[in-house]
Amino acid sequence: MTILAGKIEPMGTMTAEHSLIEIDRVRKSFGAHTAIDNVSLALGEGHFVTLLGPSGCGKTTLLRMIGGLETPNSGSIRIAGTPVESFSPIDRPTRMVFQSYALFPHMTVEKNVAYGLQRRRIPDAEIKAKVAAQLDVVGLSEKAKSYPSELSGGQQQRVALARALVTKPRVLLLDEPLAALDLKLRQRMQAELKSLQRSAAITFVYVTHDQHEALGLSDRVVVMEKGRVAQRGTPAEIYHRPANRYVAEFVGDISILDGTVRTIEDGGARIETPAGMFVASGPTVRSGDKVHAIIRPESVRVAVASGDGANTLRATVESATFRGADMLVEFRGPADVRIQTSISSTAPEAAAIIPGHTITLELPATALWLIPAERNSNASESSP
Amino acid sequence: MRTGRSSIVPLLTPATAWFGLFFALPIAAMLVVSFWVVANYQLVPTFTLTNYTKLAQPLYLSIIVRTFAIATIVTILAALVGYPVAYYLARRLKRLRVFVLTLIVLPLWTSYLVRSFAWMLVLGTSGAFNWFLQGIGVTDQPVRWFLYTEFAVIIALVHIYLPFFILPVFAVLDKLDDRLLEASSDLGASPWTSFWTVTLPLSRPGISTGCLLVFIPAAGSYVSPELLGGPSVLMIGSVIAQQFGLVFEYAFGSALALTLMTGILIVALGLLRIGKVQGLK
Repeated sequence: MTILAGKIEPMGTMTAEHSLIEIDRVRKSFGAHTAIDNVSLALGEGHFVTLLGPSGCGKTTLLRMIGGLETPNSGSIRIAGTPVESFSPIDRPTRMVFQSYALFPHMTVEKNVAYGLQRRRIPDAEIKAKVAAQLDVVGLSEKAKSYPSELSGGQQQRVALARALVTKPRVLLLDEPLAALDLKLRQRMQAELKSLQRSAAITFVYVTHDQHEALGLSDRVVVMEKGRVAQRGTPAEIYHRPANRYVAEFVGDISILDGTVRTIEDGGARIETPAGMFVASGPTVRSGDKVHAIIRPESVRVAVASGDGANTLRATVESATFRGADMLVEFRGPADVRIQTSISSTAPEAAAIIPGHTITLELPATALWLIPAERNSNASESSP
Repeated sequence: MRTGRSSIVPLLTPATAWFGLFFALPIAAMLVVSFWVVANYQLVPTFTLTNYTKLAQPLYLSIIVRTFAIATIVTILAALVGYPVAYYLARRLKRLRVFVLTLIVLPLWTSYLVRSFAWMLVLGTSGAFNWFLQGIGVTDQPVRWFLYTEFAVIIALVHIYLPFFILPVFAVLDKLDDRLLEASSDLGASPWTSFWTVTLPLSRPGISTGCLLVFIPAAGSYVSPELLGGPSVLMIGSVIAQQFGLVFEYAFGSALALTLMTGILIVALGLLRIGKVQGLK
């Protein structure tokens, strides 16, 4: 038996030629706690890159190291080819937007935005013009003389963006900038951020623990786990082709079939599971490998007619939760296999979803994705 | 939930009664008495401004000026010494801060009378200062101007009231959001610039409170100038005490006390104004 972990190639490797930020074997620890454990990463110019992970995964520490607010214990960070570890923030092409905005409460909006320019010995008239133009971009011209405490959360957020963008950074670092806003406002600010990033044509590095935000906003997502990079790729790659169970579960719901690879075919790998034989797609696997075949709820096809085609199983409706646009349905299949599906609440099949009824489910081979079975279950077999 | 105005009134009654009985009433009485005269050690109701015109005499005028000058110098010195201490305590010290805070508050547990006497021992001709200066050979005669001068009064008052400056400034600096300084640095400010543009303006409320808490007792101080200043460094507190306790000039004493109060009130209002930072809630 061979070691499974490490055999799966990372998907969607970013090309190194156009990378603006290169993080090379960076480590950072706070006392006994290792925040960043040997991370190497290249972030492309002009991209909206999201560092995604739960709190404590090191994403904010990584962001702060790019911005120069923390210094790595070892490793190097290059921006546009230049190592920046010894650079003070004024010499870095990065600017930070803080989680709670960190606006100067004793300065007006105007003065907050002018602050970075004043540190750069720019003539007053020019500062005035630039501040006015930037406030216009974020739509806060009438609030120029207001104090931050007189603004709403969304407006404060825009001031924080304006204050950073007015200095024309090449990289904007955003630390959970929308966390303090309510849902509706958050969604609107997401759209604004995205269009701001496009029009300003600068690289955004965005830290969040919200997978919807990450998938919706980003060109690239870096999923982090305990100070390491778990996977990086486009949102679609992360969502549909997760490298491991941690990534798969972090970015959405999954159903899991445990199985063993039997044969490799053109269409994918044929795997044997307690619920039957299935054809699944996935990265390099060899016959005999123990795997998890995972599927997203919306990829499961609910067929009312009892078909006996490939990749199907008969399953009983356990529970159905109406969620407005769709319904979340829990099925129990052979050998206690649990399958979660979501189907449109207006779909004709929805009528057949009655707890206790048995229905045929199809798990399309293209949507059934293989990831290595959890390492610990194979640990005893992995010795050379 | 809306609370009716009428339901608040009974709740405020004890406070109002206390305030009226022990604050408003005595001051009103003093105000009235300050327009009376004393004849044969008896207060005689009348209406005269002589008590106030007497204040304009050079003797009393110089005492009033000296009082406010000393209080101002004490406040400024307390601020110059206290701010760095409060800053270090709030922004730099982590593990030892409770210990050091206790050390700062500790002297407040001893009577300021004792602390004033202590300064007499330190500053006297055979005191610690002179002993030290003679020991290292700076002088061979004991320095006489240490004690019974403005210098002695000022140094003792700064020492006695310093904790009252440090504590409110510490409270403000302790609450200062680190991210504001990070943002300032991220935008290109040096630590020194960040201090002048962010830390210092935002510590203004604490500085103003601290100055107030030092200036008010310093201007009204009585024991320290009596013990350390001697007859040549008379402050208004001593004169007021004399008027009431020695010469029974209650009317003039009241006028003096009210003048001191008014002066302090004007300074206090000015300080409160300085302490108000626009934009802070």
